[in-house]
Amino acid sequence: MATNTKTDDTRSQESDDRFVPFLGQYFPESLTLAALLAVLGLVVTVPYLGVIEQLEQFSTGFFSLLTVQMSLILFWVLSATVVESRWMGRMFDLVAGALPAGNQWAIIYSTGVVALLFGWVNWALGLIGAVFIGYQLSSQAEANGVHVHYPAVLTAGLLSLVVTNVGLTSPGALLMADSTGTTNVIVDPDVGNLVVDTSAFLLHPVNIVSLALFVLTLPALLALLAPSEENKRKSVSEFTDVVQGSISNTLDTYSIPPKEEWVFADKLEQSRTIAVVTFILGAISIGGYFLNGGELSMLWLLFGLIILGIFIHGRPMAFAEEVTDATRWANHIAIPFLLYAAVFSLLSTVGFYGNIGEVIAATGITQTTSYLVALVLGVLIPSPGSLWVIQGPAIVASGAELIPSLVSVMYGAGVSNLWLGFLFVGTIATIYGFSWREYVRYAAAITVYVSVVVIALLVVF
Amino acid sequence: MNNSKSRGLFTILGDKSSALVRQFLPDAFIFALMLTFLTMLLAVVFTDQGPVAVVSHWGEGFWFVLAFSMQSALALMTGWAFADSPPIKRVLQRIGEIPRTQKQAVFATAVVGQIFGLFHWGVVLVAGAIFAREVAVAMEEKDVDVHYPLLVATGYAGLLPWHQGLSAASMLLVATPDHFLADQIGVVPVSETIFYPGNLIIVAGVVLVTMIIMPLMAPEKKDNLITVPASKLRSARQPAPDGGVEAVDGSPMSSRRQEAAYKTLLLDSRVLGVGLGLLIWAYLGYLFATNALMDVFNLNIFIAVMFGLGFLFHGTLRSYINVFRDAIEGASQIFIQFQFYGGIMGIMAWSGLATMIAQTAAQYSTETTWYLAAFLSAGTINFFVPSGGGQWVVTGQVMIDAAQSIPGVDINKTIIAFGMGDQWTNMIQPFWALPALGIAGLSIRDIMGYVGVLFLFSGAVMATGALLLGVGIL
Repeated sequence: MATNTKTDDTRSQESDDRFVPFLGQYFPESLTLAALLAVLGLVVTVPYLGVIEQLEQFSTGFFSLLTVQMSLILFWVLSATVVESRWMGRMFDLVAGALPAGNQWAIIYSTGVVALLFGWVNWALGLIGAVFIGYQLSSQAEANGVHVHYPAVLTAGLLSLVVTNVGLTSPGALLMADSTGTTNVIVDPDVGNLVVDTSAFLLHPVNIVSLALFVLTLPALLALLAPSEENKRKSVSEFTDVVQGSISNTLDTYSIPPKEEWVFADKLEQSRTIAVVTFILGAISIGGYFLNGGELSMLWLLFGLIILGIFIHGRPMAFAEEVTDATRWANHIAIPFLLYAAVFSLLSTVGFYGNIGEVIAATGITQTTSYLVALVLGVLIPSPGSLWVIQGPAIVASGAELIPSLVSVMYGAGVSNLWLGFLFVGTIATIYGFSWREYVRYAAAITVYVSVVVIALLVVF
Repeated sequence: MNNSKSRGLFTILGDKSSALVRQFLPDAFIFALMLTFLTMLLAVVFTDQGPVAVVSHWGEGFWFVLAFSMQSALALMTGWAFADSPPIKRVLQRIGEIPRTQKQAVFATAVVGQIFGLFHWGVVLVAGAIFAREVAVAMEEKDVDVHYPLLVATGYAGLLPWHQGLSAASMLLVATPDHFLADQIGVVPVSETIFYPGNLIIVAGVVLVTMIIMPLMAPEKKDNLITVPASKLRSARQPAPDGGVEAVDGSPMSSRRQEAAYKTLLLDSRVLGVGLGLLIWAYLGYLFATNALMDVFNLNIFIAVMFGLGFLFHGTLRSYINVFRDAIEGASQIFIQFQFYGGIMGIMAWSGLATMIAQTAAQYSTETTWYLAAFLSAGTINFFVPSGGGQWVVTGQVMIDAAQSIPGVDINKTIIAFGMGDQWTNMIQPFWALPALGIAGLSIRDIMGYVGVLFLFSGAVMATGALLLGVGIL
């Protein structure tokens, strides 16, 4: 009996020590942080605005950002909807089958590379895909008698967070690619300035060089940090099961009602034809847009994700149900954004962004300052797109070059998201991670390395 | 005897209609997809636009209602969070305890729903469904069987009179100085539209028919009853959050003692929770004190009202966050499906289909039949362009041109007929039902049969009203 109690106590202590619950106990929720930011916004604008005007901006500031808010919610929800599908699961299974699983170094490295490359394409592809692929590789290795330290593999899966905001579907760049002002809060549609060309953003030297460097070296850094001694390694079987059988089975959560019970309405709901026709019509519309010289923007990405999601889930109802499930990814933005909007509105009305911009410009290291501010602010605002909405106007006011500024903020947001990894891991599956000390060690090493590289590149280019 | 027979008739009608809908009406999302295909087909067949142009209009119009979809989602989420606050739950539970039988429960829901609908369409979409849900839970706790889908349908039916009520979009718009048709028709005061005696008589008929028909459709056989889902009951029976005992981030913490002290302080602080509500309400109080309510009340203000009240009534951020998880899931279909209606609106507007329908209605009308034609054409177009204000923007010009081309036709009556048509087909269009379905946890197939019957009877009332407007009796 005494032994059992001791074991339970030890387990409980270990459980409290794991990074998801441990770091979670210090994170007071996005809404709370947003509320504190909004109150801070009120306090700093006291000398500049009358009480009523202050309260008006605080209470109704969100009126002007409704389209941005919906775009960002859909960005999170639709990306996850597309990735959390049977077809994507099959692709992940294929990738996991093709990658080396012979030793710890190879598994950590290949998981990290997949996370960075997939993450560059889209946050959900990189984050969800790499976490699942890393788990499968670790399981295969264990089945073959190879001991792999799973915490390092899991962290390698989270590397996608670092680069996903400077990639193909960077929320900041896509919001800024809109020249109409629907999602680009900074643009003046009449003048047409302050629109980001997504190609120029992706091909910016800081972006290209940093990505190449990180894909080659970041996974290696993690592999080096992982314990080399076999007895210090924690195998994947010591953690909760994340994958049941294959990744495709795990992601295929839709249950079709028994065919013999189908009525006419069910046939429509389960019709693959409707899904295919919708996809074809959507593809024609998207094709027409790009053939006519249209640029990739947030809204066209979202349109593409909807069309792709319907096709990839095969049945319209499977898509609709997955959308509902994927809303868990938007918890951190749906309501907190109203308070981010309050901050934006207060600072804009007062003209505070100009003052902040002057301070940033006065440092003489505008991009570095932007990066560091984003790194800190990102911990309070987990959504990189929202972070840009709040921070972007100040950077523009500083007169800094737009694209490198955007790159610096998006990198800062990505690295701070790594520190909020406990939020993302807990959302993917019931993995509560490993010792928080170990996670902090990995995150700190990655932060230092990425910061040095990004700041150096921003200074050089 | 006669009374008993008529009750039986309506019950049978409700059952049959519901069975038919369950058989043939797919989920609201599939409905939106099918309507998209149909609109494309109609545009290709009846306008001079080719298939590729029509498909392009769809893609370009897809985000037509982006802002509106966020407003609707926020109205739902903030309204949900407010209504699920401990004090409001207690009040709704007490009101829900008043009815003693199924028919009384449906009648009470109809009365409350119609009042909400006449006040504001945004309010009824959320509050009507929440009230229906609370009545269902209260009846379940009293062990009285109530057909939950009918109750929710009745709450949703509160939307029926909205475009003749205080938030009638087209009527408020034409009463606004410098509205987009001001050069042509001037400013039309609400005394000529919303408060025009003919409008008041027709809307009274619409309200009355709803309050009579909905209770009469209550199933009598126990086999036909669907009671409130267990999940809704569970959440209703949850003790009111006292500052919370579970971690809000989904981690496996079992109690607050495992949180950092400052996290507990922030999440359970009434100073922060109530303070946020007071800050928002300080402005709203000023706004309402210095302006006429109907001059400033709109959907954005409604969201701010709900947002502020949510904080005030929950007291702590922890309580608010706990409820909010369900609310965002309930709003998920609004995020997606509203965009498809944007695509449909794009096709309707840019292919000229909407204009064509309105012009056709005008072509075959006289002074007597014009209001009926306007009512029917507005009802038809609303099926494809469910936003009342949006529909007025798309077709208002054509309606006014047509009205002015027929001698003896009044502009104010044309707008009233337009409003009636717009609100009428909402009863067979799932678009507006999405928030209610999210709150109730039901499918469109569960409720559409009942509101379909109401659609027929209210249509008869409104069509008669439109004809009476034409002959000059109203």
